[in-house]
Amino acid sequence: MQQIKNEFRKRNVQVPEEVLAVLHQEITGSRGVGTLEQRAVELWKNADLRSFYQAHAASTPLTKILQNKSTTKIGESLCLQIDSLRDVSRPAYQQLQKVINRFGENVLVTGDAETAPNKSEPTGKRMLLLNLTDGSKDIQAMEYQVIKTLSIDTPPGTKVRLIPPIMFRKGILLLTSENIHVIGGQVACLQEKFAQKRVLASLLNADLDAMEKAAPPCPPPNQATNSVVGLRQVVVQNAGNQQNGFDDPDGDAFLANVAVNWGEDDPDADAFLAGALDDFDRLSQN
Amino acid sequence: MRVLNVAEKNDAAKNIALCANRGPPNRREGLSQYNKIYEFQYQINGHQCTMIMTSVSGHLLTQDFSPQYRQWQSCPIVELFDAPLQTICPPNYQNIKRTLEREARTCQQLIIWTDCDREGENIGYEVIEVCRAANPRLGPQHVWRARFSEITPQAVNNALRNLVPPDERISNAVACRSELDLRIGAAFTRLMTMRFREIAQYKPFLNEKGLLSYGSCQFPTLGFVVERYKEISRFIREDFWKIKVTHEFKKPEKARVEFHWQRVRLFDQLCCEVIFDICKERPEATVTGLTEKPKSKWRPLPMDTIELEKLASRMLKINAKETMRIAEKLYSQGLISYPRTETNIFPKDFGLPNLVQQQIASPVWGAFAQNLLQLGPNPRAGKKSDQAHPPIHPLKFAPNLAGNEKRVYELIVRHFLATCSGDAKGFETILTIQITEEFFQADGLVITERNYLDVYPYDKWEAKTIPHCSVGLKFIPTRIEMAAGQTSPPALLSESDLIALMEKHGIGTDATHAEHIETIQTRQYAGMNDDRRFTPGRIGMGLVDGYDAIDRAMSRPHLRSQLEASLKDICEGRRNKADVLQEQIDNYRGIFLQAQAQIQKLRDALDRYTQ
Repeated sequence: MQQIKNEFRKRNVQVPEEVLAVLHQEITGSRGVGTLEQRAVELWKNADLRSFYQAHAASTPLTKILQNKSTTKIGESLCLQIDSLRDVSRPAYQQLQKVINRFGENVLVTGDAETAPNKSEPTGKRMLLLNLTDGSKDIQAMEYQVIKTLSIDTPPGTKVRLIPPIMFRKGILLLTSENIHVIGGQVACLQEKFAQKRVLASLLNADLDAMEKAAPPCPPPNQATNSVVGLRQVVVQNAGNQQNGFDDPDGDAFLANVAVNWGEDDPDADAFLAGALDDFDRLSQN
Repeated sequence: MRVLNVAEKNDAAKNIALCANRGPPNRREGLSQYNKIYEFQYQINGHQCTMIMTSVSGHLLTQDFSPQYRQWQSCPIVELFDAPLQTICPPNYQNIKRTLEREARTCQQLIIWTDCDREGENIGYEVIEVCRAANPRLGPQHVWRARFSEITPQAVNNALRNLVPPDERISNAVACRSELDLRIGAAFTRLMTMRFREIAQYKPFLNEKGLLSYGSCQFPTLGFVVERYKEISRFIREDFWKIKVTHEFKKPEKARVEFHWQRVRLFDQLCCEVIFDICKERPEATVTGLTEKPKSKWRPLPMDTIELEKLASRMLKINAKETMRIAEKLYSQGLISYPRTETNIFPKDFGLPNLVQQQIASPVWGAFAQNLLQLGPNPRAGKKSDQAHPPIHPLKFAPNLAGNEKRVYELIVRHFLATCSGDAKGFETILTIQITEEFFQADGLVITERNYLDVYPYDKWEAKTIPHCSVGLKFIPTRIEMAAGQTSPPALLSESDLIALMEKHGIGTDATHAEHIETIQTRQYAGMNDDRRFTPGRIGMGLVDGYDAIDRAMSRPHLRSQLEASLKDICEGRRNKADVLQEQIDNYRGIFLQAQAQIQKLRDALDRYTQ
């Protein structure tokens, strides 16, 4: 048991005696890769901490902290498990739609040239809100400054070590990257229970089943189909050979002329036309 | 030499004749009272010609099923996909047809002057068919196509100097589309109407002919409307909180500045309160940055059809169909260039100064035009060109317009002058302050040169002053408060949003967007509310839901955009009409059989919405 304790100490992880006892019990006699101590640590990482406290709600360091809500700084290190997390800097509804692949991009399309196309509303930097537990008591923590070692995909059950001094207000821990070290691990049943889509759906009181059963969104268009049509085609292979009343111009000459003559000045015609249309309208009773 | 010239409408014929002749031509009556005949002399490539100029009124011929298939009970509906078709001239156009036949018999050459777009090319071939039947000597060497983008003397003369053979591929693409629309429309309309017309609760939704109709382009358009409506009804609102900082500056200048939180907002009340408490405890703000950088607001791109429709819808509150009708009229009168174009870049040496000069006569924007002429027009360049027509632009000043025609014309002129002028320029100042660990910023704007904004009231750029504080300045903000808000669902689609969606997904072309949008309204599948935004009607919702249950592809754009892409392939010679026809007929026949087999799902959905 002392070896297990040392193994934990090597990793700077504080594990209560009760938990060590359970671990020791579990691991002795079992087989696996690595030393007994290493396997004990792995077992702990991938276990739901609550399972160590099935009998009673023990008094843990968190108990004291939670009772004393007026403190603003925690001075001790804490080893906790992430039950679930979510990003509170963005709306949950859109996050949920994206996670279950029900977000239709057409909702971003607008006819207003002012708005940049396909941009949704601006958001600030991410803020994760974590639900943590030590197995006996629960506490929330917010990502006060971005913590690169955490992400929305960090699996439920991940063990973390919180490093003092930790800000504490209104019952929430405020964490910066200096306050947290991610130890690792994941717990299958927690991953299932606290999958992002379930966390978001329950927050919104949404019918996840119905949403997932609904039709997937309209897919974005295939870019190749939207190339601009060309009306003007290559013309006249046998133009030069034809016998006809008009001397036939070469198709290419036409193309060249188009670029040049499209605005050829004809000031006489213009001056004339300016008056002519009015006269003509008067004369023609149309 | 006698040459028959045929335009797409009487207005165009009249003005083209006027431009070519440089004076009023002789006018006589045809057999149709709406299509006159104008005669004048003209020299084509040195040959003296008597020009006989007349017009049709849009499509002269239509296709329909052979008589034995026209009766609804006459055959299993699926046979409509393969039933033979015939081309006929409707009774009200018989007079036009006879006029063409009569005149064609006396002419040696034929020049087509229909609008230079796909439909125009197809109408041109109808004219050719009719004239050739009356006068078989009008063979391929004697039939010509005039190409023009505006009805002005130079364009008309240019067209006559550069006549080309008509392009059958383009006409084929249109024929392909119209055959498909006929078969698909008829099959689905018969299916739905025959199954549902006896059902009492659907009766109010049948159209004036007693039909429950379907079109393969309108349906995806309706699909967008329904999709947005459903998005809105499914939307879940969420509360959020944010911190607002306001300060009344006395130095360096008096100003009231509102700062925005860099975190924007948080969706957890407790988290926001925690940070708010921290800020209230140590509210001293420090200026951490004052950046000033030049900022410009770009003048608009040259105008293409979609831009015209969107702008007219948003700014003038004129719907797309009406806008295009007005634009066609302005074009026939020689006031603007051809309004159906995908081009948003002016060719080099386009002759812009002359066009700008035409507008100097205006009492409203004349001064701006004068100034622009001195500076030299400098249009912004887009990336699209359909190789056929330039961007929409005014040709000459039109002082005598009224009502919506005047407003649309004005939009086109202002847009043109704006695109030729300069970007608006200014400076943007960003003032950043820090309160404990939180950052807030305020943006200011100083406009130094308004440029295009002076002629273009449709864009807004508002100046906002921010005092020039120095970095390191400390102050206690006048007010720090926490405010709550709630997310809101996206808006219903405006006409301009719907056009953007159709364009993005390849539904319809610049020439047909407006039509499809109108059709879903006349069929009562969707309607415009007081805010000019689209809501689906009950029958529209039922149809989309029902067809979605059968095969989701029907109300989605992909089927139709694939069809449109194949039509482009026909135009550009990559595929031939017969192949595309067969492929699409097979496609839609398959879907039809599916729909027929699962028609109960459609019934169920319609029931749900019409209870």
